[in-house]
Amino acid sequence: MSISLTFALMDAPYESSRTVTALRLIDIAARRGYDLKIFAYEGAVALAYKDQAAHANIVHKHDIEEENHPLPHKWIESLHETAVQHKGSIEWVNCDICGDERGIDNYVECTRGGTHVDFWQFVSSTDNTLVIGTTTT
Amino acid sequence: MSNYMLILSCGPSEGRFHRAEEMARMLRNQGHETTLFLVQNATLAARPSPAGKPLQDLTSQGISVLADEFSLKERGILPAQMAHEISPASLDLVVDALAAGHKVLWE
Repeated sequence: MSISLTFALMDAPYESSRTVTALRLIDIAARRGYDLKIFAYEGAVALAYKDQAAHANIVHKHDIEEENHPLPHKWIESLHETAVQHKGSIEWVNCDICGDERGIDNYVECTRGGTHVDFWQFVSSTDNTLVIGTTTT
Repeated sequence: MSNYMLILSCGPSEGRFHRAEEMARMLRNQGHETTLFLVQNATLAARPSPAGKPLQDLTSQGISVLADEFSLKERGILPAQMAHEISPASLDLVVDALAAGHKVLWE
């Protein structure tokens, strides 16, 4: 039986290295074929926001392609592909209340909206949980 | 007794840094196997320095102190520049701890 883990994320994209470290952890677990449950809470709901757009960098005279600006929603899609390739899974839930507060509802298709009940069910049904709180509390 | 892993991501000038150090000490005093895993700016404390000294002292109490190799590289800290009490480690160890059912807390 596969190992299952829950991760709770809280930081908004582009604001904290915690998010990058968290995604590295999820990537490691995905490569092991684990079944992963991710609950994106508070600002972290914006990680899966589909309207994130790459931009050029005028200061460095880079066009969009040269700048190759990272987009977290692309990382999330890539993590899903990694999990599937390794016969694992990722169920990624974005907190609906947090999304409503921030006007965010256009998520990449490999994620869905949900509530705290999802988080409770994730914690109850998986082998272990890591909560990665915000840097501001 | 339980196995605890504390993940510390902030630098030595922040309050959370000392809170994690204190928590690690308390857990160890209660008899728990305790590991402190440094990531991001916390790895700055892996160098021999007054700021990192409290972490180095933890190892004498039986607490393992590890530093994420990737975070060390990002900050230009070479293994040879690290305090000998602290070891470089792969982030895989955190996933190992989670998979083994250890209590993993991110300060």
